[in-house]
Amino acid sequence: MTAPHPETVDDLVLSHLDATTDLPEAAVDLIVAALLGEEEFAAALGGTPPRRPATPAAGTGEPGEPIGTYLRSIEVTGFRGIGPTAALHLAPRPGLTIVTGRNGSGKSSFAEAAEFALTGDNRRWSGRSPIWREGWRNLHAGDNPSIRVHIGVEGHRDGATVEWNWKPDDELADGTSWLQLAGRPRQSVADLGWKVPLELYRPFLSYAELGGLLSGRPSEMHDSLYRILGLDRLVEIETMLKAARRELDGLRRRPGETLPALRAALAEHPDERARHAEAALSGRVADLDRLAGLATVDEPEDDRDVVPLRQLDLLELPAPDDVADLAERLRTALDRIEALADTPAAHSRSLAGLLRDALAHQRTHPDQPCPVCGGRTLDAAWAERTRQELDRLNRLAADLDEAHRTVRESQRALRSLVPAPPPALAADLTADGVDTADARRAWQRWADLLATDDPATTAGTAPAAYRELRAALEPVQAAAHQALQRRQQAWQPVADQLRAWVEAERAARRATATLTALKKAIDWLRKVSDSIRNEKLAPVAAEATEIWNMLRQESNVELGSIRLAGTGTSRRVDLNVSVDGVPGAALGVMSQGELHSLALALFLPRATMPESPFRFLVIDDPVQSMDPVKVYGLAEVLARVARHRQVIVFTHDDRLPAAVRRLDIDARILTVSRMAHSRVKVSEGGNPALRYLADAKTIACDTNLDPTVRGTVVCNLVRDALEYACHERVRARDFRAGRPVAETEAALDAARGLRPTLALALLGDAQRANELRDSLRRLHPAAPQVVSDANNGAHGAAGVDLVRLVNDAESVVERLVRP
Amino acid sequence: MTPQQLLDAARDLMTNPRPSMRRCWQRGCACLTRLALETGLRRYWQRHPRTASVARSPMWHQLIVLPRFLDPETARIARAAWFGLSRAAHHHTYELPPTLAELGGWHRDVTYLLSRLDPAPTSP
Repeated sequence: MTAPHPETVDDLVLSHLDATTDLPEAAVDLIVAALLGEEEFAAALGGTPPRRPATPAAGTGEPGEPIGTYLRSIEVTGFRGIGPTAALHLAPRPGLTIVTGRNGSGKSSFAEAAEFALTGDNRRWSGRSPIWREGWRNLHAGDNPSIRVHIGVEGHRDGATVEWNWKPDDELADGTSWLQLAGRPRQSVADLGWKVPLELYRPFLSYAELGGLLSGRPSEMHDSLYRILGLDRLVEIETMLKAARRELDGLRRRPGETLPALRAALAEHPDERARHAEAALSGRVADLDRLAGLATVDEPEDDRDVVPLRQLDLLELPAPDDVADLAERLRTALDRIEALADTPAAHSRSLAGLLRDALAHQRTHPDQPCPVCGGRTLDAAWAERTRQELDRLNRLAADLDEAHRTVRESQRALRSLVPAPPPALAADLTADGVDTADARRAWQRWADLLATDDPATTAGTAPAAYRELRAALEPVQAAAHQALQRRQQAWQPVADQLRAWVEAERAARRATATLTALKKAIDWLRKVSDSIRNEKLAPVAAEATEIWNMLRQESNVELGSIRLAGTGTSRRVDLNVSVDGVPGAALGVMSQGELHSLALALFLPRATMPESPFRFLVIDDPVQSMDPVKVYGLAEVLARVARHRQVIVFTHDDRLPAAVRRLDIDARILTVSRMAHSRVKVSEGGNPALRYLADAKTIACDTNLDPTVRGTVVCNLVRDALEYACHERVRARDFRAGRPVAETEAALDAARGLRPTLALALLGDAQRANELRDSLRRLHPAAPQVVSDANNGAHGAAGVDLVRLVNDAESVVERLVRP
Repeated sequence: MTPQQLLDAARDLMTNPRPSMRRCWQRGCACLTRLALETGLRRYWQRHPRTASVARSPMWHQLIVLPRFLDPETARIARAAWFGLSRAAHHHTYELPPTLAELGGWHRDVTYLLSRLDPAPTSP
């Protein structure tokens, strides 16, 4: 009775995507990214295509069934109707157990205790006034109430235990709880990891809850079905896409919203850049690159005023010492020239020429009188003296040349050391608070000074003039610097605003592109959502319909399709119900009992989903307000569920047990009775083996019957009883040993016939049927005879004392099922 | 009366109850339907000499024996129908008579059962 559940919502979406051809690639990317999670989705919105899972169906397909858990026992002390410790022992495996007991016998206390221990709450009291919660302590028990639930875990040798303890003055919520897996330290109950499954596949259902399932708001039922089917994932994805759409829409709109403010700011800003920005904005599509440039460049190059200001700001003049040094050099050279002025040096050059010629003449005409004065003879001695004189004269001349050169060089150096007055000084910068007049005049004086031909004046006044120039320029430069900074400060906020707007506009353009894809993705998802949710619902709906058809018995209400319909606040579950073949308005026409049955039909598939870790199902009093005939239907439904689940039904009257007995349904019946002082006792009220034997006894005593028929029927029934007892023994043993339930059932199935089954039960191997004798004798002295009679008697049983056979069989069965 | 005649009479009560029966037509109908089942079962047993003795045993015993001769599912339907009809045919304080739909259901079940009970029983 399990719904096939092959694909997760993600897989379904992906396979729908594969089948779609008219969706743009960008939209497909967005949906895939959304499936992969927030991070991938954010990246995809930014334009990075997601890494698509290679083979989606194979990768994430079969979710795998969780390890199944069963209830092994519920031990309760001092809780609600139960005083001294009472235990409800259950068979931790698939099968139907019916716990009966009169009102107030304490049977519901077991159900509530189990629910409370595992969930920490109870639907019957939650949401009620405190008065309901205060009466939880039993008055007849000691001060330390406790609940202990043993859980059988499929495939594990020993299960787990969940225990709650309360101290004398504790409130219900103050109890301490722990979980213990066999052989491991105690841990928190939360470690079971049942929080989500408990919400989804809640294995506890009470009468009140059944009523609430359908009488609640339509959206609640819708939501609970939605969650069970895992469809909230679909909502999650859609929400993600929609959130992104909202965000992108906001991004797209933001530049438009901030544009007027920006325009206003630009309009009233005097800066030249504001004009450029306005121009860049004026086109149909704003020139973003240009705007970005305006926002980042410090100052505009073509601003009339900024250039001279920056020139002034950057102007660098040499140190005064440099000027002084040059002036000093100039003066020294001038002094030297002065000093040589009255010496032969001045004429030395012409004199040297004359002497050089005379020497040359003397070399060609030695020892002759001077041709100039005709005086003395120009002999070698003369020549020697004259050569020396010539050297002296040459040195003097070189000295003087050197001094002149120094003068020229110093003058040139002075001129090049300080540049010509910059044009900036000529500009009118008074608007920026820069007065250049003094500096201009000082610089002019300096220029004039250098332009004079009188190096002596230059040398004398240059240092002073230069100091004046610097003194005059200094405030000008400072003022220019300040003016520039003022301008920068005034532009900065606008530049920031501009930059922000450019970024917003860029984001908006990207968003517009993505938004188109996103809208297509959302439209597509909404379209496939309908088919996905009904695909997911189909198996559950089919099962619910089937269960309803069994439950309704002779009700004239027919349940057709079940559909999840509507969105938002109008979401609901559409139950296609027809009354006497006429399609009707669903729930309104159904009786309370029918509504309960319907709720049960919807609940059972939910609690038996393969994804649920709970292999047990606790139903408290489903029979109330059911017509007697429906109880038969219920018994059959429960038997069907019990094939794969441990179903524990608590009921206050005998209708369900009676139906089980009459329909010959494989079920254990436990009776809870309450004695004085809240002492609660659980006794075995019947199981199929006992019922087979009771039937056998009835027939055995019917002497009116043909002996062959009587023998055949009695032996058959005894055999059925023995086989049932064997099955129970094998199931209990295998589960304790941690063997998977499916394996056990397969082994039981394979053991055909009484002897192989007994061999499996007693020797653990169906093949060893011929070794049975000893173990049968050990089991019970009468056992070999009972088995042999049961086997042979099926073909006549002549000479067998049938009444004695049944009595012996009872003892053997009792031994077989005893753990 | 043959089982079929009994069933027809029950059907008649269901669809067209006479005024004199207006308070008890449901029980009458249940009674006739049950009688049809019982008669059919008895005839079934009598068709084979080996099972003829079963026909003289109480109904409950016959129902226990039935699954040994017929398939268990059909035997189960017979059990459910017989116990349901028995309950409906008797007066139970605090319990209301069966509904038309319930009676119709049993009637259908018994009609089906009679068709299954037509051939003679085969030994188990």
